[in-house]
Amino acid sequence: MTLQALEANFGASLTARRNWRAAFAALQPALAGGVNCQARFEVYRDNVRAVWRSAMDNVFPVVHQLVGDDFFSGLCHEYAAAHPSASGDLNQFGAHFPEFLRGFSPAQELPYLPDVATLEWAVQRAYYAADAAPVRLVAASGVTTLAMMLFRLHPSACLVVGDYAAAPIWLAHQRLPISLNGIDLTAGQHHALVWRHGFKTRVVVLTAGSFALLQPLGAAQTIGESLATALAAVPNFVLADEISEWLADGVLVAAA
Amino acid sequence: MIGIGLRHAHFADALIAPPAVDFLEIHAENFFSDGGYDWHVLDSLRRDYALSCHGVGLSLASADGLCATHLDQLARLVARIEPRWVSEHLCWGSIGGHAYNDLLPFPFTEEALALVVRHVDQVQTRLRHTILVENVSRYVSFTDSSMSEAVFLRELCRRSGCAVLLDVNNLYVNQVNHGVDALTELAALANVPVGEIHIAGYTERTIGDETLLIDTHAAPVSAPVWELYRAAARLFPGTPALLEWDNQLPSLDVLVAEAAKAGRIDCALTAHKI
Repeated sequence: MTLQALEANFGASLTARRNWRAAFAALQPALAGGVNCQARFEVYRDNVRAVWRSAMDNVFPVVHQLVGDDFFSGLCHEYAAAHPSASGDLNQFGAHFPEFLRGFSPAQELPYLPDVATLEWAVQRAYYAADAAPVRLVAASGVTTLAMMLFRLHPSACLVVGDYAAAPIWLAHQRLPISLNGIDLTAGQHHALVWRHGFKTRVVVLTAGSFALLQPLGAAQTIGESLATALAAVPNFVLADEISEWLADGVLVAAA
Repeated sequence: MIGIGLRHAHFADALIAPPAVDFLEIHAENFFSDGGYDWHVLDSLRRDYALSCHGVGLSLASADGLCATHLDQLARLVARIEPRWVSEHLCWGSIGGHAYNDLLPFPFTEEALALVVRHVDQVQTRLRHTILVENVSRYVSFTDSSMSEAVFLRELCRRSGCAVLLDVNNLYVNQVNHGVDALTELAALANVPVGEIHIAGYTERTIGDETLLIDTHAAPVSAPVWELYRAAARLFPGTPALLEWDNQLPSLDVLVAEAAKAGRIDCALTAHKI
C-alpha cells in the first residue's frame, strides 16, 4: 500500500460512520496484528471526535447550553461529517456551523439557533482579531471636524444581522440565572454589533439606523458620509449619543 | 534549562508572577491570530523568556505535501516572535483536503523518509530556521515499517539537517504499547543532535485484555518516564527540558515545581560528570 493510499484509508476509517468496518477493512492489512488492532484504532476515532467536540464547545457555548449536552454532541458529530475539518489550525473548525444549522432539520424547533451560532462565531473572531488604538479626541474637536474625520470599524468589529434576537439571547447567557423571559423569540429583523473593547469582547443590540450608520464605516468613510448613507437607508433615523459612545468604546478607530 | 508550556489557563497568573523557568513553549496554531489578549500576554512575556514554538498541525508526513497557507502562517509567526526553537511532530494529520487535527502515525519506510526529508527541507528553507522533529506516541503500528522511529529520525536529521525533539514520555508509551525498547531507541539516537527533551504524563486505558498508554498530557510524569529522562539527560547533558501538561491542568506553581525536578536531575548529572 502506498503512503498516499494508507493515509487515505486511515483518514476514511477515522470518520466513517455506519460503514466504518468496511472502511477499516481496507486499512487493516497495513496494520500490525494483535487481536486488539481494531480497538486500538478506535483510540484515534475517539480522539478525533473528542478534539472536534471540545473545539466546538469553546466557540459555541451558548448553542451548547440551548440544546443540552447530548444534542450538542450529536450536532458536533453531524457537523463534522457535513463540513469536515480542512485546516491544521483547529480555530478554523466551526466556520460553517451557522450555515449547517440552517439546514439541519432536527434543530428546527429552535429557529434562532443559526443566528446565535453566527453571533458566537463573530465573538470568537473578535477575540483573536488585530489590535487598534482608540481615537483620542481633543475636547475642542467641533462637530464639523468630527464629521470630516476618517474612521473605520475596529478590526474586531462585526455587524450581525439576522431574523432572530441572537444578541439578547447571547447576553442572557452571560449571567445567572439564565432566562429567556422577555426576549421576543419570533422572527423579525435584528441587528447587533460584536467587537473587542481592549481585551473584553462585547455584544450590543443595534437599531436599524445605527446598523446603517456603522455599515459603511467598514470601508473608511467620514462620519458625515456615513450619516448621509444612513439617513438615505433609514429616513426616520435619529442620531443619539451613539457616535461618541462608539469612539469612547473603541468601535470606531482612525482610518489607517 | 527548563521550560513549561504557556497555556491559556495560566495567562493571568504568569503575568502577575512570572514563573521560575528558563523558557516558555507555545503551540504555534494558537498564535496564528493577529491580536487580542493572547498576543498581549505573549508579547509581555517574550521580553523575559526564550520561546519554543511548537507546531501541532503542519502534517510533515502527509503524502499530499504541506499546506501552503499553514506554512505561511507559521513563517509569519516565527518572524514575529523570533523563537529560539521551532518544532513539529513526526506524524501526519491531513490528507485529501481533510484535516483530522491529531498526530497520526505512518509506517517507517524509505518512501516515507524521502517524503519527510523533502518536507523538512521545505519548512527549513521557508522559515530560515532549523527545526526539531518530535517522536510521537502511537496506538497502532504497521506491517510495512522497515526501521524503528529512532532510526527514521536519525536518517531524517542526517539528510535534512534538522534536529530531534526527544519526548521520553512518548518513548515509554511506545515501549508499553508496541514493545519497542525505549533504551534501544535512545541508544540509536546517541550521535544525533537533540535540541529539546519533552517530559509529560500519560493515561492508562484498558482495551480488551491489554492496557494501553494514551499520551494525554493530563497527569504528573510517571516514575519510569523520570528514569528514562535520567538516561536521556546522561546521553544529552544540558539539553533544555520541557514539561508538557495540557489537560486537567494543575496550578502554575505545581507545574513549575514538576518541571524543576528535571532541572535538578540534569544539574546533578552534569556536576557528577565534572
